[in-house]
Amino acid sequence: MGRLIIRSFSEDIKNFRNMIPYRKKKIEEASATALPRNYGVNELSAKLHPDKQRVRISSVEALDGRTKIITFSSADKTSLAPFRAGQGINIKVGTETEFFPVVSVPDDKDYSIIVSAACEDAVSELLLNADEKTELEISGPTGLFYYSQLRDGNSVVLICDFSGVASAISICRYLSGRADTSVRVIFVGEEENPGVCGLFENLSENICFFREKDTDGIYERASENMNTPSALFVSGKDAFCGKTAALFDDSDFIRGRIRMYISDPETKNASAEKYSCQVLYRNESFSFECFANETLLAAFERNNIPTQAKCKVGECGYCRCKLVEGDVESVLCNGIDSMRSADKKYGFIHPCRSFPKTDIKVKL
Amino acid sequence: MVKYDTVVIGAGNGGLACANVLAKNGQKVLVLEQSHRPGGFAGSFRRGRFEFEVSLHELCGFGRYDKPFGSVRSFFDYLGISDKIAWADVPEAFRMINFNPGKELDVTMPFGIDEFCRKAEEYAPGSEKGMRKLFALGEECRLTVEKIGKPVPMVAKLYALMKKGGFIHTAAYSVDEVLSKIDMPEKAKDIFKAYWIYLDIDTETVSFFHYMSMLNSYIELKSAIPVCRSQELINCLVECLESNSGELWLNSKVIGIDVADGICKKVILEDGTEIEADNIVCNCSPHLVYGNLIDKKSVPELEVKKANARKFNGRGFVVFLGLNKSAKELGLDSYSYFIYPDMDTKKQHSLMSRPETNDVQAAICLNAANPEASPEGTCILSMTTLFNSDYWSEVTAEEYFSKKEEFASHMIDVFEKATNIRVRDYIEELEIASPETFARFTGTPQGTIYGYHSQDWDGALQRAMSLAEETEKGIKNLYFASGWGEKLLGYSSALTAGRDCAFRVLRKEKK
Ligand SMILES: Cc1cc2nc3c(=O)[nH]c(=O)nc-3n(C[C@H](O)[C@H](O)[C@H](O)COP(=O)(O)OP(=O)(O)OC[C@H]3O[C@@H](n4cnc5c(N)ncnc54)[C@H](O)[C@@H]3O)c2cc1C
Repeated sequence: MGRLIIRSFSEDIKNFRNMIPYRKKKIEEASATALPRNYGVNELSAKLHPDKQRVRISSVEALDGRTKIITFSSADKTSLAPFRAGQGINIKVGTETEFFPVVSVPDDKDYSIIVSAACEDAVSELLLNADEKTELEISGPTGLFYYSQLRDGNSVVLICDFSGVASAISICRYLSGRADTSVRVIFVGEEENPGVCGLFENLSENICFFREKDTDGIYERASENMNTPSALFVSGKDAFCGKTAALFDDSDFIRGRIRMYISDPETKNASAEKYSCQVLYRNESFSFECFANETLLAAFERNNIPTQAKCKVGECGYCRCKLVEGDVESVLCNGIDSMRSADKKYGFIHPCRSFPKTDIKVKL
Repeated sequence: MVKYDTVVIGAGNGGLACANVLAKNGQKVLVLEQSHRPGGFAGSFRRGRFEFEVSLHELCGFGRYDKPFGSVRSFFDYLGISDKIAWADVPEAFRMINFNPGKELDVTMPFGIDEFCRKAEEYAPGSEKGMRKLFALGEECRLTVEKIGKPVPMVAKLYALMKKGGFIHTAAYSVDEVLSKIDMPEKAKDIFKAYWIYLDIDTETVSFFHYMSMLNSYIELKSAIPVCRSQELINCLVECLESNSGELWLNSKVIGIDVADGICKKVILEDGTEIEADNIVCNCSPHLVYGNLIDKKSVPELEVKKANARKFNGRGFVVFLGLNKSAKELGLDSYSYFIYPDMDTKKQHSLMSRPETNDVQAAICLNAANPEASPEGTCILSMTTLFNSDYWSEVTAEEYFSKKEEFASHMIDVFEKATNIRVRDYIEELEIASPETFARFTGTPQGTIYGYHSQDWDGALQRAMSLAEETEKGIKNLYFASGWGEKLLGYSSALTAGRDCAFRVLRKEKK
């Protein structure tokens, strides 16, 4: 095959030889202004997903004797990160972190959460006793339980118990008034939560609210006079979500999967067997005790191990670490295994869903 | 204070490749990664019952597992990892659809140079001879690229190499200019240009040499992907690193590099930890290193000017769909879809600055290469495009989520229009990665996923030929190894840039 000449033999060679001098000239001619320290997209990204936000309690409203709605506003000049209806925040007190779904809507600039004495954790206790003006630190908005128009479509069914009511309300409020979207929301709980039921009032006609005493009537409520909904959201306690999901198991009422928020990811109720746990972190090593009835993540947090965690239901993968020695039992939440296939292959675990079965050694 | 032979900033393809070579050659190496997960753009994530691939469409330079050629393949063999990874063959090169009325084109092209040229002849009679001529040049280009980086003075060696081959004549020119000298029907030229989006540069500008070496690698070597997504490649590289006593620290963001008297000395982590090292290798962008990590007074003017002269390549946007119908039921027969309104690449590239006008995409149906990629009765489809403007920094936080969904919906429309396949009704899982997402997880400026734009003065050849001289004038003991470097963007570029960087470090240490 003959040589391919583009312009002319000599010009092609000349142009090749000129490539580097031309490059040098271009660089020489460029500005010597210092490079930017930040970029618009990166700034927006940081605003959307802050690790921490400083907030002040701007209002406390009692729903009933044991339940309050607490609203946070930004404590500095910045605005709080926008969230998606259904998402929540993590709040840490001491070594304990609790997740609270946000009950307000994305259009409100503030975040409101529902705090109940029934929860009996240190964070709820602190919040229930806090005054207006108290300042604290919260996480950025987080969680995969949220409504997406493109994915979830225009006919939505929400089923919740008392502990899952906040995210359901947020989604209802978000969709309220959208003529093209119909929402059916079923709250399963006793009459003694009038305050909570009241939160579903004042919504537009496109939101139909029902209350059921127990899970028995849910399926009928959800499906009566209803074609296949485009999305089904279930939020509440582990047992409640499991029972509710089972009602739809054999039906083709819902295509795809049921989206779930579990408020009390199950802690395995086995023996209180004690094991030793060694954590390798950077070039340090930490040793402490862990128990068969707690997750490894709980043991890490109790011992102030510098671990990352967000969802605690195995979904986000932030706590991913390598199991170097020992054996764990993985307890899935809502039946969904969120481990990457490559991570499984290479011996990684999600400590938030792993209970020790032997002495353990992990590498963060 | 702990001291290392080399500290690598970033556990992406480039950083891990570099660290692996150094550790294998006995260096005490530490890789620092800001994220909780190694891989940078490479990796996977789960939603419901689906596991999505973040970035890898095709791994250039690896070829098929049963055909051990290619630079990436020989590198993996050198590290001893090729056999540890389970590979799935990519079935065909691509399907390209141009959908503008009057400019319609719908071709599916096979791998293998013979097969490719014959198929082109079928679609565009009279093209085979021209196409073969191009691939013959392509072979020379690819082999030259593979030799770049070996320890011989660059310019002299390249010149000698090129003099032997006919392709020296094409070295200074664009794809379009070279094509203008090839006697081939327009339609065949359009087929030839199909991969332009992978370099994010129109064919009037992109260097023929660079484009051709990539095309040759894909078509001649064919392609395979790791079954467990690119995360498997990363996990394997990490394991290999650790088996050679190299270390990886996750959640360890570097916020400073200390430079004294023109020599870099140590890195500083966000929590204040300081780590001394003889060499510092950056897997992140020069913009970040010279703009953020190093005190402005210590940054050489040449580096500032060079960075200022450069342009960022595309900012990534990807729609990930978990569909609750099988690929077969939906009619998604191909793995890789290039969807373009037409083949005026210059015009299309310029329209990729705004969401209203960006109709270009490269879509992948993972199940076509890896049938078990998702549960029975489902499949995974992802659609990728690029923005070559800073549109996504004009969006406010409040409108961000709706803008993102709006554009994702637009991309689905374009896909449906081009293929006549309805996917919208079967969305079970949806995730949308915008430039903000890429910035969030890797710190990349403006959400750029493709490094620096290959301008006419800043192509792969020019970068490679200037590397030695420019490094000489830079901060001592500071190196770069990534898709921002001399081989431009992509897995193979980042991996081999990391490898070559390690050999430069080792050579210097020997001296
Ligand atoms: C959607 C998409 C599709 C793509 N498709 C393909 C394809 O099909 N084929 C192909 O070849 N290429 C493809 N690419 C490009 C390819 O993924 C990249 O070019 C390549 O992975 C880049 O590797 P890297 O090592 O240069 O950098 P990165 O992957 O960016 O890794 C850099 C690492 O450095 C870390 N880091 C940055 N700053 C710091 C700091 N200060 N401290 C500590 N750590 C830090 C980051 O967190 C990151 O982990 C695609 C990319 C995307 C996003």
